[in-house]
Amino acid sequence: MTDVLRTPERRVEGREKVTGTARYAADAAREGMLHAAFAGSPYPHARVLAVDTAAARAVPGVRAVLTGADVRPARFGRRLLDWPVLAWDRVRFIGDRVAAVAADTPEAAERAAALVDVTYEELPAVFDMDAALAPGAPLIHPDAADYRMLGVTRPPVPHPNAQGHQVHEHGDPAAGFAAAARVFEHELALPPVHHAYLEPRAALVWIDGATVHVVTTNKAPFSLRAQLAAVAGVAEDAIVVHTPHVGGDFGGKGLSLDEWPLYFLARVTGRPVRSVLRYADELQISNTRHGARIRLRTGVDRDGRITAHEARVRFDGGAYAAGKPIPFLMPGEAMATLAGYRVPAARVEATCAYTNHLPAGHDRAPGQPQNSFAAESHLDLIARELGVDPLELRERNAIRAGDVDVHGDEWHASEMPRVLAELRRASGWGRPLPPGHGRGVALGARHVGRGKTSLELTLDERGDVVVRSGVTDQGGGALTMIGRVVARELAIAPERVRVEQVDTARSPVDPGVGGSRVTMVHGNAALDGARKLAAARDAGAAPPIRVVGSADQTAHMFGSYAYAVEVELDRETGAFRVVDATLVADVGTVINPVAVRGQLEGGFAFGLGQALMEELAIVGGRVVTASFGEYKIPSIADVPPLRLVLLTDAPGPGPFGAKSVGELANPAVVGAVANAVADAGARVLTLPISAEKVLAALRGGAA
Amino acid sequence: MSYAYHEPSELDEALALLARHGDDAHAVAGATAFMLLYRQGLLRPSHVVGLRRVRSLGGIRDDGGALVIGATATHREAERSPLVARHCAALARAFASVATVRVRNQATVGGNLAHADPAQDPPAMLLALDAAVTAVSPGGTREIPLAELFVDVLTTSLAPGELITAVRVPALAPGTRAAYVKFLPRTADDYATVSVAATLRRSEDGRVADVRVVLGAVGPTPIRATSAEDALRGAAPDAARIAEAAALARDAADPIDDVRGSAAYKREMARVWTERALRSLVA
Amino acid sequence: MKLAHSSTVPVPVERVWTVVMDVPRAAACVPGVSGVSGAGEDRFRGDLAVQVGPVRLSFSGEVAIVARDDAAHRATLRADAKEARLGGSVHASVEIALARAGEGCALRIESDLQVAGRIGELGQPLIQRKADQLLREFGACLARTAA
Ligand SMILES: Cc1cc2nc3c(=O)[nH]c(=O)nc-3n(C[C@H](O)[C@H](O)[C@H](O)COP(=O)(O)OP(=O)(O)OC[C@H]3O[C@@H](n4cnc5c(N)ncnc54)[C@H](O)[C@@H]3O)c2cc1C
Repeated sequence: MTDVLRTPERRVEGREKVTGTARYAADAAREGMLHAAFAGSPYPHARVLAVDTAAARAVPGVRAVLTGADVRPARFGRRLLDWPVLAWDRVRFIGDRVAAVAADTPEAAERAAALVDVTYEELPAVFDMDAALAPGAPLIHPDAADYRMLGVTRPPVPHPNAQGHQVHEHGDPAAGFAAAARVFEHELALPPVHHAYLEPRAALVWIDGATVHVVTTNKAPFSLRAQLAAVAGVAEDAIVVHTPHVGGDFGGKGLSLDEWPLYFLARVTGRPVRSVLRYADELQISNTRHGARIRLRTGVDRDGRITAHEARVRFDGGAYAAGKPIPFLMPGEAMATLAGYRVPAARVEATCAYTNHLPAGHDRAPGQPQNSFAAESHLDLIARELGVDPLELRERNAIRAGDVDVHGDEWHASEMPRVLAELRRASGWGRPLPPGHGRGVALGARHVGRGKTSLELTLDERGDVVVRSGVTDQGGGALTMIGRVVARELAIAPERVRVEQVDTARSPVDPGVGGSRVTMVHGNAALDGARKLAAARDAGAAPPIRVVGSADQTAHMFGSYAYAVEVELDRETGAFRVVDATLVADVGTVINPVAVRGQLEGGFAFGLGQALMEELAIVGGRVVTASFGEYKIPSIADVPPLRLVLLTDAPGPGPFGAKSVGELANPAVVGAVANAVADAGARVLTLPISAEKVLAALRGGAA
Repeated sequence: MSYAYHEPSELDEALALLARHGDDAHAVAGATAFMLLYRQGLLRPSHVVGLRRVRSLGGIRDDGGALVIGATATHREAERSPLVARHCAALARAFASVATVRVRNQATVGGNLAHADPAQDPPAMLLALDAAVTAVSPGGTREIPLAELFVDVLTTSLAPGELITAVRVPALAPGTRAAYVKFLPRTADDYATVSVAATLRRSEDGRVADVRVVLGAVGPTPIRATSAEDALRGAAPDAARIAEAAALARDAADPIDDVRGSAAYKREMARVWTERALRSLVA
Repeated sequence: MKLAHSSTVPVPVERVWTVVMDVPRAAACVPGVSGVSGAGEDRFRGDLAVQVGPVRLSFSGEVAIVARDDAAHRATLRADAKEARLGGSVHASVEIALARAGEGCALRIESDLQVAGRIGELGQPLIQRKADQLLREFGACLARTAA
């Protein structure tokens, strides 16, 4: 039999999706179901003095209207429970919910929600992260000391408006700067952006006897179960979370918003209650990628080799930290200011601030696009100042085996030099460009995922296998990957492995999708299970054979990649187009060839959007890009052909030597594009790189 | 959906339904603009009157040299129509500039004009071509020149319950050239940051006999840059003259700051794209 | 959203000032306003109907004079209105300043407008255009009323 991995995969859910029969959370319905709608704050920061629900209750078809008083003191969050289910004393961003309605029809619910009459007293609002962290800034969470933290104690913060804060130091930065031939400093900034998944949040909650059922788009059902248990004060095993297909996630679907008020509405009405968020609300209240302002200072020797590095990173966390799962309450890669480089000495300080903006959360490689844009622009500026070719400067500083990175960690292996050599070749680096064109380079590194899971495998009489896993497939191809790993190990056709995604009552605990984890963790658990099946079969066990495959993945390893991008610039308007792009990616063994290509090409388009056009524009706390008419993402016509070079021969810790790709390739796009535009004549230090900023830079103004 | 949907096949019936239900009724053709406002909760009609089955509103024809595009012809039909292309290639281009194929297959030419978003593409071009719509109401039929149709953002001079049946583009004087340029600095799938529609005819001696310059997306309605036209009319359209006219177009623009750019930037882009459009017409 | 409007009125400052500070009379100059009545000292209640293209909005709310300087002809007004049909509210802080300009009066109105809820989804460009238009008409009408 030919190697399963050599044949392009067929998605197990593909037929359902392309024929339109796939069911999503918004399709879930139950007898007697009610529809929810919410009333949100018009103010970015205000005290709630009174909530009058009489008019709302009088709307025909309304079954319940809940306010903060009915849910107090319930607050939710993935780690820090700081977001009130419904605000009772204070609202902290425009859209912060103050009331929830359940009614017979969505229209009645919406009408009623519009009639909830709230008396507010406006409080001074803080929109800027530095202003929020200044002494004497208005406090956004005066009661923060009382908030619960799931599983861990909250690390101390330097200011009551700080969500999270960390300082890292290694080597001797002072000596490194003293030894430097030149020291450079730059500040860059990025606005918040949205994931723009196709499917908006949706959920259905009902209570059946003592059991709470939730159908949801959440990509981490067990985590949602634990959070709901904490918020509702019920046991975890009294909650069943069902996750049908998730229509896109990109990190955003780790946070549930509607499930909490739905739970309370289901409890008071005794009926199933569903909500489907309008996309306008997705863009106004859901967890965005953090806006950031980043100042980098780096010393280099005469050859441009980094001697010391200092960084001050500020993230706009918005009104709540609830969207962040990591205990230090910052984006995961908050501290990775020079990812992929050798950094002998560094001091990195990062702070995530509370502001009166919509809450920020996780978005595909959290923290990395921000730091990557800053670092790659910074190094490019340094290269130009030194008169060194930008790719050459990167080659000199690329991390190699035995070097320490910006975290002070030593790399035992590094594909980065090879990635850059391959990029130089494949992109035709150095080839003369037509007038008006510019070329830019940027590199990146992303850890492969970690975590722990188990799944259940059954081998039947015919030699077919059924795998049951609690993992959701948010479009990444998790279920297909699991099936192919099992098929390859057992040397059977992938069609003979059926992978079922099951609810939390029927699956071992699962960490969910996130942190580039699934191929590493679930893939290895599948491999472990397949091996156990094979062993049992070979030992003569009689089918059906049932085993549990497990993995506890702790290896710390990185995938490396780099882009070269060419732009064509219209000097009269500042508009530019990306006309050519090369991506070299170190991906290890490929399990799903189509999905790997899809993730890398999709990651490129994702980054391109952030570079060229994406901005959740917020004016006075209000999101003014609340539709896809205003919040633009790239269409296929904007995406140039991508020359993709895969390095597959450096094995990773995943099954058969796989590494992860889901969050590998999106972060560095922004820097590569910025550097290409700079090469064409306009350095822009803030995203998105709009034509207007480019024109200003061309004309010598600030950008 | 909590409205009654009517789909009459006769125009009279449509007009009667709209008259009967007054403010509670809303006409739709392709419903692309309507549905967005409806889903946002900004419109709440109890009766929706679909026009797509009214046969007399469809089709594209030549009427003695004038081009007549029925209100319910889709943008896709218009963009691919040999009649439209023969009449004016730039007009076909303006129709083809709207959104994506998916939207153009659904959205209608009449719906576009009635929606009156100043950032739309066809209105500027049709205004430059001196087009007029035919409008009917229970009271009768009238012609409304496009210059009088657009009143404000999303606001036309159509009376409540009055329907566009067609847009009529007069025959172009022989030798007239036309251009439509749409500036899309962010993504190909967007409304214009600035658009310029222009027509130009030169006399035997090479001077400009006739010219019209219309700016899109930089005012509450498409804006006719008459000062720019005046600067060109009767003149030899050399580079300097065109630059002068383009500068006047910049001053005619009345944009606002938004996510597509600051007002100052859009004004400057009105200049650049007017210059480019005019240059293409004298090249 | 910040809006500014200025115009010159061929009427002496004092006359315009009297009209401006007579809120029910001045309010009648905003197209679509109806039912203005007093609601306490320097506070007034009223309704406003606005049509933005096909979208009809009906506001009801309050205007309060929060500061006034009769000598300098400056005042600060605060308007808070709710829109019940679609859901939403508008809050505006309005600075009015009059100054002598020859025989007439220069009128300057600066407002900071916050639009909340569903109606905000009409989009910034549309709201700004509409608000600009209302202000322009208000300015023109003041001139007529004071004359
Ligand atoms: C995603 C998207 C992108 C877009 N991008 C662009 C773009 O790039 N350029 C551009 O020009 N436009 C763009 N548009 C706007 C598009 O052109 C309009 O939505 C469309 O033309 C409206 O036509 P319709 O038939 O769908 O109108 P409908 O939505 O059916 O109606 C729109 C309005 O016109 C009224 N109406 C319809 N027909 C008539 C009639 N015969 N008589 C009187 N009133 C009538 C309706 O009552 C309604 O108020 C875009 C729209 C969408 C949804």
